[in-house]
Amino acid sequence: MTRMLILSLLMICGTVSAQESAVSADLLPEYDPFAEALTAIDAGKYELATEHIEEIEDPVAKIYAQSDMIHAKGDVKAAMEEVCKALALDSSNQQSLGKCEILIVNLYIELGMLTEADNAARQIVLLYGDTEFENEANALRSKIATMKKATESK
Amino acid sequence: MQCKLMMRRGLAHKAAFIASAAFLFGVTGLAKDAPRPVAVKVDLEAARADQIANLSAGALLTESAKILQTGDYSGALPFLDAYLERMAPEDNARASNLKQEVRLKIGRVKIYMNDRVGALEAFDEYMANKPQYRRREVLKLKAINLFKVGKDTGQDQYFEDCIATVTNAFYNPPLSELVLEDEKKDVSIDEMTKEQLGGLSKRQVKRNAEYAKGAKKDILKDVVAVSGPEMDAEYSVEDRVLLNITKAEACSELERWNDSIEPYRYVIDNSEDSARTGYATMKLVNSLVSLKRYDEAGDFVSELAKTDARYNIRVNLSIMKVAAALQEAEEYDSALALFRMILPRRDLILHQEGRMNEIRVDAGMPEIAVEVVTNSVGGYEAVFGHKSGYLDVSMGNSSFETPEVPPELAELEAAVNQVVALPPYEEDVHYRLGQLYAGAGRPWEAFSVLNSVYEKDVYGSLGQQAFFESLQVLVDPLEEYDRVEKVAYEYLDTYKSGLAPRQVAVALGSCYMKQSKYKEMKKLLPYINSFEPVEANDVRTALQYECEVHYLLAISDMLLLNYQAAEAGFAKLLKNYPGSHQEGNATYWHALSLLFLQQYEDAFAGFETYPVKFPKGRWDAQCSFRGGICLFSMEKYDEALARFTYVMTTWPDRNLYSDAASLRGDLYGYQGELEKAILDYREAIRTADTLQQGTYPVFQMLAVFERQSQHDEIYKAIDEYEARWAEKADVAKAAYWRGKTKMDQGLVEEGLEAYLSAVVKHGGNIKQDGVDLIINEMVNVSRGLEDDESARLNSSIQKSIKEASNPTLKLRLRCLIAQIDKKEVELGAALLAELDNFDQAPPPVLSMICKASFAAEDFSRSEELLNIFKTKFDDSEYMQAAYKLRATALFNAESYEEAMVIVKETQDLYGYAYDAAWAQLMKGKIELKNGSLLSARETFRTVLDIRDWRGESFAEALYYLGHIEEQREDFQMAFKWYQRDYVQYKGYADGYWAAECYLASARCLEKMGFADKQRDTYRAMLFDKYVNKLPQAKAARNALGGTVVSEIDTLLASGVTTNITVTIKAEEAQ
Repeated sequence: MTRMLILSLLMICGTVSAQESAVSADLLPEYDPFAEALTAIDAGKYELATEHIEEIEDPVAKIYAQSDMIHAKGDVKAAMEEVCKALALDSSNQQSLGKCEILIVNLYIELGMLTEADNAARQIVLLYGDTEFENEANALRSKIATMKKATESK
Repeated sequence: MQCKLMMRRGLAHKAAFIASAAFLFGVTGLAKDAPRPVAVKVDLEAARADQIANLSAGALLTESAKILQTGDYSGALPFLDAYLERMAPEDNARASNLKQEVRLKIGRVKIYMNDRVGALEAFDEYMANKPQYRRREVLKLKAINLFKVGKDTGQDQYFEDCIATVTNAFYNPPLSELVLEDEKKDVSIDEMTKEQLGGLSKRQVKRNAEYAKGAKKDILKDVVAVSGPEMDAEYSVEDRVLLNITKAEACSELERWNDSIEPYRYVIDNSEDSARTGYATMKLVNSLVSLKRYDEAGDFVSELAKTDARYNIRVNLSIMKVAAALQEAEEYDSALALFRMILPRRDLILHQEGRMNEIRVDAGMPEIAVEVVTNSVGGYEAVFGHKSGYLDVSMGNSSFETPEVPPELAELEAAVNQVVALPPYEEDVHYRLGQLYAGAGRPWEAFSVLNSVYEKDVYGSLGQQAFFESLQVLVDPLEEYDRVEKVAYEYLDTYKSGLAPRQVAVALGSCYMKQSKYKEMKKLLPYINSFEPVEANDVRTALQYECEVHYLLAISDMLLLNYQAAEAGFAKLLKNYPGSHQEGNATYWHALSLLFLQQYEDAFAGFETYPVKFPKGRWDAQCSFRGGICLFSMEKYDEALARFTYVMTTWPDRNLYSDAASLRGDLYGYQGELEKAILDYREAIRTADTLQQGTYPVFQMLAVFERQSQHDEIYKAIDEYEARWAEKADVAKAAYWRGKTKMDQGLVEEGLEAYLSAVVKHGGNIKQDGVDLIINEMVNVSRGLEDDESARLNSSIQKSIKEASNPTLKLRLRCLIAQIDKKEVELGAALLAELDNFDQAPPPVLSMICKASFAAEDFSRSEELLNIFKTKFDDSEYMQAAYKLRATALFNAESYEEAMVIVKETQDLYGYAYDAAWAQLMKGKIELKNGSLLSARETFRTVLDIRDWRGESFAEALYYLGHIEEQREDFQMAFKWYQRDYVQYKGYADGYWAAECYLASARCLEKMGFADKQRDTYRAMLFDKYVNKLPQAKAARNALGGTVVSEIDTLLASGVTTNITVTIKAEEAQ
């Protein structure tokens, strides 16, 4: 957004021609607000992250980023509430949805709701066969099983 | 819009026709660009009849071929029929084969004409004749046609025949069964006999053969190419897929799910058409679900998820149906996965639009945009408008005007219309998803999805149902109680009408239940009382929810031990909501509340009603058992015994078997049949599931052993009890019994030592109330000890106190010493000053503190003490002292209403127990303060009905009864009550009430004008040693004057006793 704004201003001011701007824009990596948002969240720059999140078009991806930020700020339950909203959308974007579901499993784990975490992970395996999410979900299920055993042995 | 509708109707008709044609194209491989039939005019038919009559057999075939080329199927049929008729007598091989070919052709033509029954007749005729060189083709067409006719007519026989035909098609009979016996190998045309030429000239046959080679359309090729017979080829994989899906579908139609599985699997494994694979997978899932083979169904659901099959409209529609069935079967994982595959209508149509446009571009047709519009009756319909850039109209049936519509396109258009015609399903799917997330153990997802349904449809029934269910999820399992309370009260404050507020009240009730906030439940009452009546169509459901709230309220009262309120609540529910879903439960709980209120006859009647009204109800065994308790309590011992026997015989596997055995043991014990009692207690112990069930019969049995002086059995039973229940066992009580048995054996010091050892061992545990029982017993035993024994015991206790580091144990031991020394009040007072808090004080110590406070009239910590009991020792028998202290504090502070609450709580807990008389007395006094003289009179009279309360409580009650009558100015009656008090109960309460009654009597006599009798009363008072030293006696002295008093004192000093009795007769009083 910021970058586009600068380019527009330069064009208006006549500093660069439209053709030049097209060339320079080609040289720049494509702006990916989702990736930028996640990077900003990782860096703890939440204000900047919020700006990027506003630019995300895919509603599911937007929810994921929002939730990721809330989670990063430490409110696990609120993050859970946020990310679950993705499931209420009629989205066919399996990539974004899969990310959300993996996040849900992780949040359940953090909330200590291991059975629920396993339920969610099991569903991912069922719905996302032959994808990266299936593998992630299986790995999480193993982790959950270990955690459950540890809890039971206590 | 009208225009759009008309166009749409035309399209639907057209699409249906094309779809059926497309089906045939797909299965027969016939010409895809076959011309469409045209109407035949009557005059043309007449001309053709003439023509047929004049043509040779060969010419009939040639002419039929020409007519078919024009697309006039019905026009060709008479020529083909005439050929068969003409050639009927010919039975040589070639002629027979030609006839068979014509029969096949007639069948195909009839399919084109949509005369499927006619087609089936042609195929049957083919199969009834030989040779059958086209057997596979005919059977394939027949099977498909049978399925179609079955679908059209709904007659199962067609599906049965279809399945048989497919099975037959896959059977390869030997060639000999298919050809004529005299059939020879094919010969060249030049060598053909006249019969072999089948009515054609050699030239015609050759020309036709050449013509057939160049023919594009199979339908023509088959008719004209009457070359030598050749067995049709084996079915291709594509054919087999087609036959298998046909068979599978026919099996599904007949609900022969098991038979459908193999053919569906064949299709899944072999079809190269992903849409068909997806469809077959979906239908296979349906069959497996119908067979309740959920695990296998789940596997295929997972397979389905990996495909794009959900974009297929037929698959999407099937998913809804199967997912609902899976949800019904509580197969949440698979159901959830399927529901999540369902696409919203708009996405589905958009996807199909893309596919349609691909086909259209390939066919050289303009692209379209599908628009879903609302029609004049509020339904949905699809409009296939041209995309801008091709035509500037946004309506019309694009395919209708197009001369050649690719069948796949027609099929798609029909499918889109089918989806559009469905009622809106998206929100219903979301709602079900919410339910499924809850069922699948994913509560946060459930909440989110249900909440989204609510937010989209706040005032709709689905939205409100979703709101209610989202609250339920927040309660259980998310335990977001504060949030539920906040949201629910906001809602209840706003909405009063309809179903939703009632549902919200139920959710709130569940919220309180889960938190055991039974008192909070009462907050719901004003809300449900303020609900507006519901509309007729909602009444049944609304009343159910309303009833549920009342049920929760009554249950809360039950759990709060407010049995009277609970009884009233359940009774109201049964009266106001007859036939409700809670009627069975309420009947049971109502009877139980009556049992707890000791209204045994009514309770018994309730328990007896239950099995009559609910023969297979969940409380059947409980009702029978509790009925037995009622009989026991009504002292109908034989009936009770028979009842417990019935319970044990009828429900040997139920949890209450052990309880019934215990109580039957009690009955046998009561009747003196000790051996039988012991047998039952042993049975109860053997079958006990809970600690309580395992404990009660043990100690009851010990009491029997004690009566029989079977000391060894006592020790053995205790050992077994402790071994079974280990640390859960009531070890202190067991220790008590060990010590007690030692005592009984005459080993007093050994017994006391065992007691003290148990106290020291377990007394540090504040919850171990068995220790307090031992302490009581030690106090009792100590009373009979010799001085030296007493000194040794005292020394041992003091030593233990010094050695004890646990504060609770220290307090218990100090309590023991104080009781032995009869210095409880002093210790209580000391502890009151000494302890900053009572965290470490066990119930007897707290009770002692309460009593000391009461004696000192120090009520400052009364609230704190009662709260400690309520929160930590709510089932302690020592709690009563705290109730008394608190009630008195409130009474003294003139907080009568609050005091009455405490009184009621006490009475609910202790009823007519010996030391609960104070509560009844206080109740009367509060009623007096409130000016309710008659209620108070009834309350005090009740005291006199309780035998256990004789003594001080009687004395106080008599005084107040007199007081009430005095207030009512019935002085004679008042006098009687007063007099009875000082005559019969002057020895109680240090004579306090007797003294008060002497003075009150004198007052009444004066009011009645009996001055001399008044003086006699004063004299009697001064002669009464129980009262004459009390402060009240001063009033009598003053009234009598110094001389008389001196006389009395002198007489008393000389040892004179009098028996002055003042009597008044009724007439005197008047």
